[in-house]
Amino acid sequence: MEVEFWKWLTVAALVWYTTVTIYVSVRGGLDIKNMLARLRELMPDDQK
Amino acid sequence: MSNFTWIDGSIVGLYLLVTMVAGFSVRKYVGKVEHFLVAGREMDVYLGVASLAATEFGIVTCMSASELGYRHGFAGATTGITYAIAMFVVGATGFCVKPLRDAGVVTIAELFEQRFGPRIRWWSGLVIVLGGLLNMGIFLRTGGDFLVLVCGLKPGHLEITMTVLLVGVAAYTIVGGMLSVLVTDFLQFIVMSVGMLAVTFFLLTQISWESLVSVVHERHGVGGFNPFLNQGLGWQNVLFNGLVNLAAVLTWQTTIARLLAAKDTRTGRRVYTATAFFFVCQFLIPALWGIAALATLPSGTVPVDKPAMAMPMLMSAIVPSGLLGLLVAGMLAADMSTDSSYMLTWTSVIYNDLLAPLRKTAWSDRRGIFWNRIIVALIGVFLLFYGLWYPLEGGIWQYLIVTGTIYLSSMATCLVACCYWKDANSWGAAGAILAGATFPLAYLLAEQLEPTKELAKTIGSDYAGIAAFVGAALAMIIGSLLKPMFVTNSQASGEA
Repeated sequence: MEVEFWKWLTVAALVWYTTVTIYVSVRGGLDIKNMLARLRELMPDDQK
Repeated sequence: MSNFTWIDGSIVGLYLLVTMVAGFSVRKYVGKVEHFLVAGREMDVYLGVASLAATEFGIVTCMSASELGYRHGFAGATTGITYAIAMFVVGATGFCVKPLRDAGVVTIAELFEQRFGPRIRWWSGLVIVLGGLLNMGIFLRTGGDFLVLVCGLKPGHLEITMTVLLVGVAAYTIVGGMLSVLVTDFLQFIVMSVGMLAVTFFLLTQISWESLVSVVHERHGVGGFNPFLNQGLGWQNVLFNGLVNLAAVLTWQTTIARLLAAKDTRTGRRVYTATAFFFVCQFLIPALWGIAALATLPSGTVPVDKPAMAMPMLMSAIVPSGLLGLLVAGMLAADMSTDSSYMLTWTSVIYNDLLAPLRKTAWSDRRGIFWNRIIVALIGVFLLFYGLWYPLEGGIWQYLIVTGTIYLSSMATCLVACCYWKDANSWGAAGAILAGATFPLAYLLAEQLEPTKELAKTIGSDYAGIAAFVGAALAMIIGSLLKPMFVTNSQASGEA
């Protein structure tokens, strides 16, 4: 039973990690873009 | 003999170039201390997930998890499961982290000032920095060991490798603070994840699942799959790791820095729940690499006193050129994101809490940022010398959790009491800090001194760690109950 547990946990880890890597790569890039845009708005005009 | 060639060197070089450019490019957005330390609290969920995952996984974590796999089989990855459960439950319920983020503080010690007074804030800052820096002290050497073995460098090049790594990381952290850390963490998350996944799939094509299971059976029996039946682990190890994991999720400054940098409490909690399962991957994937080393390397190849070297030895031997470059870039990414975040985190505590008494009048943002940068640089110098000097005894993961316990035990106790126990007070907090730091520090000292070395071995780091948590909790309860009695008595005698 323990062997099966580790086997399926390994499969789940590899599938989850692959999916999350792709998803976070796309959405995280958008987060950076938005974060820098918000910070730019807060900057004094002469520094923009 | 390593398979590392000029192709791999080019991949690593390209990665380093892109990281440096990204790290330096956001420096213009750093106008205030708040931008430097918590990125202006503008971080959103997915960037938070990438940053937290990249920060909490460095070469040192990879080496320690693969060492656990090599030494204990699959059972060595149990820590990842307890870590994931702790992070998911805390994120889903908001236990402690909700009041912490709602308070709008920069560090956990700052929250304690509101409840326990400025002295407790200062002492909290001290144990946080002490535990954090000792913990981080072995990062560079472990990273250097990995790179030297995998890239086939001469052992004498370890110090140069460590210094170059550190200078590169310190440079963009000093310039861009948390903003640079977040942007580079994002890139590093991608490179690290692609590298780890590619190497794992490659290994599984070379070494069958049945071979991995069979070698664990052969070496560890049923204990290789069940931590409670494993001779080197046992219930005390699972309990100690569980306590450390929960306390780390609640108070480890690099973890809560993402919560505090989030744009609101809900976002911070979502970062926790979304990142939780990553901790299973963080321990299980390198543990598989360690087990693969156990199955592949001929006996006698790995030094008995350095089982952590097994995984890099395997990688240098069987991973082909091209993929090896991706692995090294991935591991460099993991290490750089961890080093930069840790340097910035301990800087925030030193500046915000330890130097607070010196800042009687408010400092200008320019002066604040200047001192933060100086502190980052000084931490870098400390790391270099400590990494070269400290002789590591025992396993890497055990060292990490024992040094972490110096502050995790007391800070977790103080945080829970601060948020949920109305009778908690400064006496209890002071007692918890003292008790929580005493056990792990005494253990580390005993481990290094010749007359007490055997005693430390007999006690074991697990029991020393559990004692720290129990001691801190008891001290909090006893101290908090005693203060009203003494204060009332002294007030009564004063009146008489």
